[in-house]
Amino acid sequence: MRATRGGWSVGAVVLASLGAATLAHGDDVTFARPGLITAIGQSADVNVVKILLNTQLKLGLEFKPLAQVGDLAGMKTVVMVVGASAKGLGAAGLDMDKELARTRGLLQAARAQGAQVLVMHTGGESRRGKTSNDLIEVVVPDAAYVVVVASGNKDKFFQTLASKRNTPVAEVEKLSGAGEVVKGLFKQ
Amino acid sequence: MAAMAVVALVTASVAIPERAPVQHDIRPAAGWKTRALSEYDAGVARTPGDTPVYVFEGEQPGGTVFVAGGTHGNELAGYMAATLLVEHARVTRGRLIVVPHANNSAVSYVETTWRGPTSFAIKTASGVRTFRFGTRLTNPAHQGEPDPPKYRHPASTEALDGKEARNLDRAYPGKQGGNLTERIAYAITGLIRREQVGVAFDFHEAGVHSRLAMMIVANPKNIDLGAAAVLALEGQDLSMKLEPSSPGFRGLSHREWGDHTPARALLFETPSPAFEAKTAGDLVNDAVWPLARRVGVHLATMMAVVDAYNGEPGVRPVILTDVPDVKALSRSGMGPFLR
Repeated sequence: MRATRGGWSVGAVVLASLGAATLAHGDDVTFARPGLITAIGQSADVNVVKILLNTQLKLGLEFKPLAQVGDLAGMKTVVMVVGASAKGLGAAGLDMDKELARTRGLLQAARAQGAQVLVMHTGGESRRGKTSNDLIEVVVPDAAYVVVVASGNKDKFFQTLASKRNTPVAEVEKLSGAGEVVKGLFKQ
Repeated sequence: MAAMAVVALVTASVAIPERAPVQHDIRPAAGWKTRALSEYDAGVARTPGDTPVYVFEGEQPGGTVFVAGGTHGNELAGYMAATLLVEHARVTRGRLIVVPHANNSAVSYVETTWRGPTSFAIKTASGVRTFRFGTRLTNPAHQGEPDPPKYRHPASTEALDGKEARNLDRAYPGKQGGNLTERIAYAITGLIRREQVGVAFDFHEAGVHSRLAMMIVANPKNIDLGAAAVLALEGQDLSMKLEPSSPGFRGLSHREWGDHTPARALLFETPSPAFEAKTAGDLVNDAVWPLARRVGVHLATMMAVVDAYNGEPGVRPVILTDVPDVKALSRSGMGPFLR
């Protein structure tokens, strides 16, 4: 397994099912349930992640794209699916300032109650504009683990941000690879 | 006591010129029946907006899938995917209803600025067949009224260029007795409602470099169908993006079909080289995005959504067969799958 921790390569095994993924060394990082999936930036990527984690992998996570601080009560894991969508923000009645404030509030609440944050970026290059980047810069420093589909990380932006706290980053070629990584992180 | 005056409010219909609609070379496979859009609203009868409606009813009862191609007459992968369904696909359970040229008026002319071909040819076992290439909007000579200075959908706050009044995908749910574009939209919405369509598709194309290319746009009520399709298509090496309908951008099929009927509503966009000035010379054989591959993307995406729809609790399933996959189409072209 080829692995990175904030940009450090520590191994080399390619899992065919993950499509030449670059995986984080995450043996010491696990996530527990109950957990919650929320959208950071209100893109429809959160719906894809919901189908992947709940319908296909049956992780049974709560799904609240617009989760508020109160929704984190009792949660041990918060899955943040990051990527900005103007349509999604508009439909939710949000602008970027409000979404950034909601995000910071969730991160603060997660820290306060000891919930771990799993950041997922699955939307590829089209979710790497300025607004998406602004959100990514906010969430990655608080992540315990990052999963990113490679087409959205050609500049290794996620490793650069994650390296400040030595946060593991799993870069996968495909969404199915992201599912495999997350499945391995939920050990209970 | 004051006398009460009763005022009869009469909404005048727009006068649409009577003219025969464009005829297309579509050769339905065995089992398909042909109707007309005017059966769903007489307002399009004897107008250039009338268009064939093809129906295949499977032997086993089930739900109904609806496909519209040709909403825009220059988005050829959309109407060729719909045409291919009529000429090749079968249904074993439920019904498939296909309108290959949803805006038939839009293939009756080309914009004066268009310098490319107005038709294209595909070699089939029965010989070379020719298909029309039109434009995005209803023919102004058919609309029944001039374009307004600005077009504003009744439910929208956004004012668009006046010619967008002739854009079928800005006119839904349509208007009875309105201009031709509104009448077509009204008839299609009526079809979806009357036929109790479970899931409805609108096949489109965008520029190769447009952010819309390779995108599924889904009504928010059925966004999970699009999400399931994104995951399923990855297994065929197809990477589709997913967006919900915009709440404020009105008149689009996925928005209004989903809001005004019980149907799940989705629109697909494939990348068309026809929108790129440098490559518009050959509408069929582009090196990167040949027509057959784009048709395959539409059909694969439709099948992925139908598969997800069939898995929803309580729905009446629809089983489609003989729909060529994207690899077969990319390898062989469309010819072997057309009659």
